[in-house]
Amino acid sequence: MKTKIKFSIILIATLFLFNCTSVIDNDENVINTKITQTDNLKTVPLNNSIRFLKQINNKKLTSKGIVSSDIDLYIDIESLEQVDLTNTDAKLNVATATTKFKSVETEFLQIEINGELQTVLFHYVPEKDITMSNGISTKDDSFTGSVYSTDLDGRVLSGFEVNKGSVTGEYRLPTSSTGPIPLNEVIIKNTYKAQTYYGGIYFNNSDYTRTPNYLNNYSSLGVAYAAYYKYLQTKKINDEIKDAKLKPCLKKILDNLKKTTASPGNMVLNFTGDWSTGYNWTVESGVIKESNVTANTSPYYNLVNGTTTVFDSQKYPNASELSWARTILHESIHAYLVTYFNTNRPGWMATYPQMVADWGVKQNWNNLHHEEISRSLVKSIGEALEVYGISQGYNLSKEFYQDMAWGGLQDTDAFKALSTTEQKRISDTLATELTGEDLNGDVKQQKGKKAGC
Amino acid sequence: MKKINLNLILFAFVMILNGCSSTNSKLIPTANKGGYKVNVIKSKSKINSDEVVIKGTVFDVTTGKPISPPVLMTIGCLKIKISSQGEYSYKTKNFKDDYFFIEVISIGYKSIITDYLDLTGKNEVKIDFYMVQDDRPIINCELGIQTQK
Repeated sequence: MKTKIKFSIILIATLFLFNCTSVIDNDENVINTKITQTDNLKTVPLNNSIRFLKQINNKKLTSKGIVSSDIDLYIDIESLEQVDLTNTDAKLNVATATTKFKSVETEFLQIEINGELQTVLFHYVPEKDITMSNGISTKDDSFTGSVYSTDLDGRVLSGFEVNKGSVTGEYRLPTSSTGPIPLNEVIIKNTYKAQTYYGGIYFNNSDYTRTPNYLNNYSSLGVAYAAYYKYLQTKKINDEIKDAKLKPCLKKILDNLKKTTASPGNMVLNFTGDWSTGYNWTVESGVIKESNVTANTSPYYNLVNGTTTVFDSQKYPNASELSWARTILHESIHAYLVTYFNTNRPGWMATYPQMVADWGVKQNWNNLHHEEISRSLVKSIGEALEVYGISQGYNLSKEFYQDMAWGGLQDTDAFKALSTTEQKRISDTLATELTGEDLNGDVKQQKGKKAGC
Repeated sequence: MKKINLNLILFAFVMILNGCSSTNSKLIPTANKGGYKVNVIKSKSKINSDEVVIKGTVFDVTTGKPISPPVLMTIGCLKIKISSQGEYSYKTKNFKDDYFFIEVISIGYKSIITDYLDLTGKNEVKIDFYMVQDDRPIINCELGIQTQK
């Protein structure tokens, strides 16, 4: 009897061991991984801000003595209040302030970001010189002009163009060897109202803005903090690009791109306005078998390496640095699209509905990506390449940069829809920068310096 | 007696093992590493004998999980709805048709086209699809796609 029970137990145990269900191991390359955004904002206690403000008013926290930057700042401590922001539990400490610019309304703002106390001044400069425009308060929804954020010494950190209460662009502020521009020069000399780049609103105004309405008088406040946050995210993306296996000649170009607003980090955040994309890019040099292929990007994504792009620089040893910068920018967009798809598929589908529809016909990433880039992103590549070119000291036409942006897109519907003349001009430009010869094989002067790869 | 019992148990093990392998239907391969499995659930039933229900699930072959929409399944001129759990169901006649096949497309996956399926006389068929992610790299063709000389 005991023996029978023993064997029955063994039998039952064996049944469980040899079950008929096939087991499929989970692959660690999991798609649909959603990376959630961390809220790194924290409210500064009011008492802390009050102490801080008293120090400012006592001139202990500004570098008085640097006459050109002194904006004669005084902050009304009694106006200090805490305001709610959307999408976060953190509150913003706000107080009104005055400077020596009589018609410019100024606010003091303070919040903790990533464990660091962040303090900024906001200055609302109406459009028509420095007097009030039509008697409308600068904080009204119909404010049109510029909003500058500065540090406490009045050095400009960022500047935005505002039209009827909405942010319509960001000023590209030139850097100088002495550091950021003083507000004095912006308002009085008005020499740095540079062209807006990218145009439009390219990050989500409703993030970190005061409730209930993003068009209210604190919308630009949210924008400035959004800009700072964006800066942090941009830097993070750029710093985390894994480029240890990239050839020095290409790494140099990538490093130079990172120093500008044409960096992969900037490109990504400008496209999505979504700081939780989890953009993670590995770039390396390698040999690609297919002829005429200088780079390829994997459609796979994982949390460790993100997506990987291989660059084959030996194929075109005469390529200019502008040609390679163009290729790097182009591939950074593939990496962005791959990452976006893999980390936020609903968002990707909502942003790129045409790609969703195209898959039913094209059924491959290569065509899908290139068609979308040619449709909606080629202009941004051209603008980014121009930023890079200017940073490297080139003085070239916008047409050149925009022509270069078509690199890798000559088989798309959008390119084929261009006139024959345009197609030829673009193709010749690309061929020249890549090989030193146009499509006819005639030697041509390259605009860019040799990349030395 | 003990010997007989042991033999019986060993026999039972063998039967169980064989039983497991016969109830596991193998993946019918396609042009890529994905595939599909066909299981006939019911055939020659007296009720609604000229209809066949085809149903199943679309899976990711690597993770084993149902694929999230959008999944496009086409049978002839009809697009079949796929649920958020990757499930579908389709009713048709079970007459002889030499050219009946199913195509499944999903973003980021290599498509599956079945062989011609023989549904004659069947009333319920389960077809599960196992799709493999599209791993073809996105390439940068300098100077456009060239024609071989």
